[in-house]
Amino acid sequence: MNRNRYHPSSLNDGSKNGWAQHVFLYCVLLCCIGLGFAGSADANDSAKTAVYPIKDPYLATVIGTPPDLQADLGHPPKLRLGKWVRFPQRDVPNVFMNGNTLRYVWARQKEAAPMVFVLAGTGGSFFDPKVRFLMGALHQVGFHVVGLSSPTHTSFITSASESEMPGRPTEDAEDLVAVMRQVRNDLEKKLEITGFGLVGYSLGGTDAAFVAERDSRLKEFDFFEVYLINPAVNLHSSAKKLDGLYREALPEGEQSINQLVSTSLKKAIHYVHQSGSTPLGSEFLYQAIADMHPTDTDLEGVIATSFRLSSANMSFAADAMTRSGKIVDPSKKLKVGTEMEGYFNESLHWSFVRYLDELLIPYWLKKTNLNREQLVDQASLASIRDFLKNTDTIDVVTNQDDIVLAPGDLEFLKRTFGDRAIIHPHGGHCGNLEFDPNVRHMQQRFVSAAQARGEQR
Amino acid sequence: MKNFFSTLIIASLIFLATASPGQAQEQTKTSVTQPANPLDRWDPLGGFNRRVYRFNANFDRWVVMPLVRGYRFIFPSFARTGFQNFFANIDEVTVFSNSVLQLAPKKAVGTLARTVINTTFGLAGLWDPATRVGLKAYNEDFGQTLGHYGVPPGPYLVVPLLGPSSLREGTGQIADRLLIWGVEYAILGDLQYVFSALYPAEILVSRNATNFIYGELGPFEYELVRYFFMEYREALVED
Repeated sequence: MNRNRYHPSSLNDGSKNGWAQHVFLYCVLLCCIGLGFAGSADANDSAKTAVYPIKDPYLATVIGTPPDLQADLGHPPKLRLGKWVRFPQRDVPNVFMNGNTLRYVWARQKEAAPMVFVLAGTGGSFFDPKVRFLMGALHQVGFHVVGLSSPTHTSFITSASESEMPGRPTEDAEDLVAVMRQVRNDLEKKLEITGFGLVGYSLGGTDAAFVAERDSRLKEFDFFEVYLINPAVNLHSSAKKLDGLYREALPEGEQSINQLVSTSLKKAIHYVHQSGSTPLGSEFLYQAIADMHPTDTDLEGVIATSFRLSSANMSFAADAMTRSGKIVDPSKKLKVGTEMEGYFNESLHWSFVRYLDELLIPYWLKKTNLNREQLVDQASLASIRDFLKNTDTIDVVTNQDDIVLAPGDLEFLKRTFGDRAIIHPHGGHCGNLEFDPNVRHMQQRFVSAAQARGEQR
Repeated sequence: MKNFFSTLIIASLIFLATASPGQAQEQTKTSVTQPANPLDRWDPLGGFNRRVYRFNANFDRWVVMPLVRGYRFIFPSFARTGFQNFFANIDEVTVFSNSVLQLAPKKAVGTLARTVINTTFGLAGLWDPATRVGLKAYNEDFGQTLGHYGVPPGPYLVVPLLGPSSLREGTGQIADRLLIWGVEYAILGDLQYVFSALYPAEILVSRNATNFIYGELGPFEYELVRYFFMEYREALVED
């Protein structure tokens, strides 16, 4: 029987056929780096091992955790969409589908419970599989959960970013807190909330640290637990690290980026196609990719592509919203029917480094009296080192071979977090996020931290 | 009601034909001039398509998804899976006939076996024992048959309510739908009208199974969806 594969979302029932399938694929392929579907297939306990098996960091980053080693999260929570218009007066060009409305997703417990916010990674939406996976994991152990898009996601930029130029962690944290405050006010009418936790992966992990630091001063949420998964330590050095992938994957240089993106997406489509029209369960796709023995250059290409699509979206949105004129002529109106091919083409040439150098830094140099070095230094966990060192409710989990970490970052994490840092030997960037022992550790940290505060029965 | 959706498809095809009669033929003759961006696809109706895409997004948000939520509220998960199987089983008619048209005996026999097993043991297709016993489900349709015999996809098309398509796939969808209704009529006689009235239900079931929400892929969602649709269809044609 065509069993429903588990997706930690009741926004869908698992895809089978027709256009439904196509659309499902786009989402899967684009929303996340990591074709690792959130979810467990047939939970096969005997197959569970204590060691994450993929030693190649690129492969781990792309395909995530083999389905039979993923945590079984049981019945998925029922997800609901929430909305908020933060800037009613803001004039958002029509081409941005969600305009000035920010959307988020949440799931409730029947009884009173603490609430955990889940922050998406670079360019990620609340609908990303990893967000829904983490929501499913924390819901399973008794928390209300809320999934939020990254401040670097287009819809967040147009609807909830005060500056419309994300990437400065202190400012992004202010925006996130504004959103969280609103979500809290909205949901308190419907739920009994006994406390707050916070988890983020990738850039979401970095964001979570800055949100927590802000909260330690202002005590709005008083988080019982903050859990950082594969955070970027310094945004500028991580951006440089990712640019290295392009150099590997783009022997002909930057002008061939469109070709690379197209080739990588074609490969991804090919992988998905290999899974056939059998029910699109995670194990099929996983197997399809594993069987193809992709080379490291292929994988670097896919990873570079995924990040480049994020930086292209972000650069375009930030440029159009702030009328910086780097990509979009500020006098042009972007309407629903506007041809976007040219902008897409141009935006793909915007890496994270270019975004930081040509959009973000010039913007903040004008708005503040900080210099370039100060801006770069502020975009690092090192700028809140003392807080991270002295706060025992913050944990960090990362991997020795995480591709976004620059030399010295691991040592920084170890030194700063001490025994609150868990560093796995393998897993690449977020590849082992769904791995059963890691999920159980996270669940256990949240549960015991909540109990220690007396926020959970 | 029964022809509501196909009327919309036909209407938009006619619109297409009248809007750009020369281009379609030109395109089939001279192989596509390489676009500046390999991610672009031939889209002469871009402005129209973009507006339809937005219309679909709004229709999805305000009409379809509320219905899907109602559907989920009423039917438990096993029933929803059953409906999905039921419609997939009916669709095997197109898989079978197009496998025959493409002279693919393995797919045709496999599909026939699936249909027989699922229609009988699977209680009119509500259950899918064929997959359990290892009979693979194939994905074939008339659009793929046309592609198999060298018909190019033609321009990209966003069909109102139904989403991404192309001239070739749209034609294929209509042909497949007529075939299904024809077969149903041959088997059921006048009862067929009950089945064709189920078409909107099929769309609801299909939407429920689709893990997608509009507007979360960023400013270039339209371009990315277009690229994926066209490439994925080509991958299906090639298998």
